[in-house]
Amino acid sequence: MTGDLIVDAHRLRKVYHGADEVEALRGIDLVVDRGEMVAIVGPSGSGKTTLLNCLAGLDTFDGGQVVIDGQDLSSMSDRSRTAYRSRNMGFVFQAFNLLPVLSAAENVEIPLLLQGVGARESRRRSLDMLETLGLAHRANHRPDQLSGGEQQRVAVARALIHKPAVVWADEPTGNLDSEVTNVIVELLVRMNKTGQTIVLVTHNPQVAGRTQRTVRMRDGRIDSGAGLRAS
Amino acid sequence: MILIALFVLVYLALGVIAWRRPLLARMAYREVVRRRWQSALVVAGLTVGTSMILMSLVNTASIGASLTRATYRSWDRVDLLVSANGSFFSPDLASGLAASPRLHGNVRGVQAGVELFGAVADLDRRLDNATVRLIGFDPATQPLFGVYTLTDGRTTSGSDLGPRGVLLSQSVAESIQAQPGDAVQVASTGYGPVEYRVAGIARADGPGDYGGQPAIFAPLDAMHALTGNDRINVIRVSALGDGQQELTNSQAIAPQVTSALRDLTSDPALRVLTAKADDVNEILGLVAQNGPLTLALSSIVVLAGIALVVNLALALAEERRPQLAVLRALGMSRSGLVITSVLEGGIYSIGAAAIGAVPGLVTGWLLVSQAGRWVPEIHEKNATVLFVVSAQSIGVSIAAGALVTLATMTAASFRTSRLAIASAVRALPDPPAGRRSRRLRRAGIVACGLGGLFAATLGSIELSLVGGLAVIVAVGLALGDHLPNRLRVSLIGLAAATWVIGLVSRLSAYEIETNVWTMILALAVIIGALSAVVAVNMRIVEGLIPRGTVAQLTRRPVRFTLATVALGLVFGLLSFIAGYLASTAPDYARDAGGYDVSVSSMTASSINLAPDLQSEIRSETTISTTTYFGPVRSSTSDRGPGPLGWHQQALRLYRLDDSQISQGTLPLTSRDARFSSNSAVWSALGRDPGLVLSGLYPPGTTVDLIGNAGPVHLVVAGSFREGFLTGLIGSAQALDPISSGVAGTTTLVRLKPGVDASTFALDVRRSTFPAAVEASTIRDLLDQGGAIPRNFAAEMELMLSAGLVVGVLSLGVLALRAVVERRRSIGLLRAIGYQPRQLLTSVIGEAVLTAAAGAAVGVAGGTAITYIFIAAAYPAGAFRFQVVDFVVSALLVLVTAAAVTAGPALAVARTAPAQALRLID
Repeated sequence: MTGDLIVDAHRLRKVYHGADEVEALRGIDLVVDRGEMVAIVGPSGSGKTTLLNCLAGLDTFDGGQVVIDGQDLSSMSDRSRTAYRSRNMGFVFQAFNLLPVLSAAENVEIPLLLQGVGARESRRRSLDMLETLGLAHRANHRPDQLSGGEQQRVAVARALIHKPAVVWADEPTGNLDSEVTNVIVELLVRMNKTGQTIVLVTHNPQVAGRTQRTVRMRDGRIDSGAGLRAS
Repeated sequence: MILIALFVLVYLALGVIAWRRPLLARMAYREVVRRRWQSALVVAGLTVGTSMILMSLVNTASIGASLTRATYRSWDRVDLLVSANGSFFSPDLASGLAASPRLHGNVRGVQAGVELFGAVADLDRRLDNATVRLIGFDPATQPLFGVYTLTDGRTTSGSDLGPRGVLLSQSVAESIQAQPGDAVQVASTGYGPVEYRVAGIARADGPGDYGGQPAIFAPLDAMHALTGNDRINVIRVSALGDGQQELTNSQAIAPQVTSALRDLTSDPALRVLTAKADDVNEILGLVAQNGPLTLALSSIVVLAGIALVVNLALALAEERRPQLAVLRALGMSRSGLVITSVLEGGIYSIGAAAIGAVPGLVTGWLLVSQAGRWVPEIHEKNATVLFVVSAQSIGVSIAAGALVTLATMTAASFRTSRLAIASAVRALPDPPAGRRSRRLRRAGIVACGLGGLFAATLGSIELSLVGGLAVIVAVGLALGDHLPNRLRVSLIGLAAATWVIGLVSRLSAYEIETNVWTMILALAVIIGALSAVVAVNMRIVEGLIPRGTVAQLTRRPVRFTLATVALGLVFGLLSFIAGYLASTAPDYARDAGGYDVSVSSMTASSINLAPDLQSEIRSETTISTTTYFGPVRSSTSDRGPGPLGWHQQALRLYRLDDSQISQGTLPLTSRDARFSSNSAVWSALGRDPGLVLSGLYPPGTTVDLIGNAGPVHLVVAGSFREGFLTGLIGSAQALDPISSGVAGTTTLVRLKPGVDASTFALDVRRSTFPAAVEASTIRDLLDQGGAIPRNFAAEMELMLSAGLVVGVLSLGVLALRAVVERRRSIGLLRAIGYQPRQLLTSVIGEAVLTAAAGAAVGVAGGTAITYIFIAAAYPAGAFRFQVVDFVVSALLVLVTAAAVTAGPALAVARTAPAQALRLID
């Protein structure tokens, strides 16, 4: 836990401005080592998803610092952060969020195309990835022709295709039954064993139990499992 | 061409982007083809830009080509005229000019001629025509000016017509059903009548179309029988070359002809007129001025289309928000999202533009085919209406339509690309803006306010309008933290509408007429502002009808505003036209001044009616009348010279005697601002020989003519209703300098109770035959007087009804999008127990409410503008509104709106809850 840090959040604060200001993150300190698989758990409203979004560069924050693989997100513009995400991050969402107009293979190759990888190479790697995940026969199907489990496997393939530094998964099994949940969790664990860093938010204790570390949150603070920063 | 080049460049750029960013191109393409019927509807909704622009271009090109062709044909080989403003002079001048060494080799021909206005009666058919041109020509020189082609196929230069043989133009022959061999009686002011024989009917081609008006062509010998001497009053000169070259040559040789003329005479009244060139230039100027009017009016429909496009773009973005957020999460930049939207918009735009050309051509054809009814020059020149469609018109309209749509979608996509990824991925609303955004917002508000203040002080009406709006919006936004949003938007909307109404109500009628674009901007702002007010206050309606129906409207004020604006703009212009038509319809009791019939003769100084007709007359006013034909220039008092400049025009001059002036017997309907009452106008008319009245020009107009002793400058002190005494009316002192010739006469008749005016007028014409006496009911004259602009308004009303189709279509498209966008909500409602019938009612009710809001806002805005215009241009109390007609058409639109949304509504009602609740649609 004190080896090669890939995620390093220090005194992270996030406030939602509205009629009433809500402090969603209250000075979070969290580190994740390269190759680690971490689950963030906690009751609803504890700030799990907000933390994930801030760490992944999907949302801005109001104080503190987030360093991902040596890059300080807090000092980046939206443009740089976007470019950084395209190279270094993969995402799996609860609602799968595949693009309905694209086939499975086309969905998977999006991150490669965004990085400027050629169309032919992107497609080859996309098909390879689908093959690895047992979805080669569904490569040309649109999302509405796939089951929920298949859609989420395609989403995982999309998250991994460009070998990101970190894969962020927000309730990746939240919409799946227990059988498919196991398939997805096994898949993530398998990928983690190849050295892929994965940070996931979950309500499911069984899913959390398959990770190497569990971070527990309550009221915008980490109760336990924040990890240790090398001195 | 610049527009087409820009279009090509833009689409080339899109092509390059699509080639270099295949992912974006693929997504854009797939979005288009994914739901083909929906895309087809979107494209149908976007066709409006191209169709309206093409309609305007085709209209302008067709009217321009028809008038130019008619003008060229009406002059044919005659390019220059030498005249002394109608006075007669020796024919030796013509032969002298022809022999002048200055003109040798420079002109095609020189011809002596006579040109008069007169009347003709066919003694065999017992029909007459009181207004014809009498054209005397020299058969010896006619071959140089072209030969007449007769309807029986023969050709003649006039030398073989026989004694007292004349040719009739086709239009004259048709009006009196004349046939070759008929005996006709011809008279002119102070000359005749003389009996002639119809030697042939000249086709409206070559010299047979000379003047472009009903005419009788007589060899000079025959004409001299009418005038009683061998003098002439015009010399026609034909320049070398053909078409445009001939026109150019005519302008080049005009100074030489003038020099040659001065070699022969020192009479200052004799002048060389570049008549054909002046006429052609006048027509081109008119076309250039009036062409944009159609474009400006149709731009309202284009604006409605833009509102539809923005609404569609927002609906699409709302529907795809989670997808867009995922793309952003995966690393696609905001510009990537914009480019994807632009590529998709590019496909829709080009498709819509290409398809839009078809309705554009159809509406253009419909408009042009009726041009004779609403273009006065087409009517006057009896021009054949040409339907001109050029590749350039089609190209420009497709380019403009596509670019307008594309630009709108691009602008909308910038807005929709600003999303909070974390919220949008989970289909949650965006969180409130952070502190940094607030600072930027405050800076923007201050800049907007200061910029608006600066613009408002620059003096231009357009800048004042925009600047004032900017200040109002800035103040409204600055109050953001202190007032509830609903109240704030309501105040901004009402203040903006009030500002614009107040600003344009300061304009004169002329300023309103000549600032069409400003008025359209004003109408758009009023309707936009009122739409916003209605949208934010729709919550009030929630308490009155089932919440499900209006919830989608009240929760999305921007999109509701846009839908309301789309319909409101069209309704606004339609209500303006309806108001204009109602307010400008003649008020017979007021405008006729109690007179029932006008009886006039241009050739006789008195009209003797039979005793039985005399017995039906209660009272009468007789006015001596002449016709002026020569150079005229009119200017309005508040903006300087009118568009025409000097041009040849026939004007009737009505000379009132002292007692008629002192009694002020004619019904003035408006007067110049410097006069406090009608009696003040009459009093001034008797004193000031520079003042006249008119049934043609509005008060304050100055009219310049060439009189017997040089230019004459007259000012219109008061006006009659259009159609009532069309010309200039004044004292002998005012009108004698223009024409002291032998007068015709006009008698205005008041009939005894129970006598039918139409029957009386017909009896007068029958009983006075063959004296070619005109007799018309005042009611008919008033109807005809304002017919041209009213016909134009009616045509525009018809055309703008197409805009209603756009508005209603937009409701259908939006309803269809709503079904897709709200699929999960619908599934949820069905799941928790909503009946299909309730959902059906909800969707249809939403469309009907939107249509009703659009109608209400449009009528309010349009009526305000109508009132301002009518109050400025017409007598007090003239404003009227056709309430019943408008309620009927509004109800029709509501029913149609319900009908077009029935399809999507049925789709909603039939949706199975489980299917709708699926995560992927």
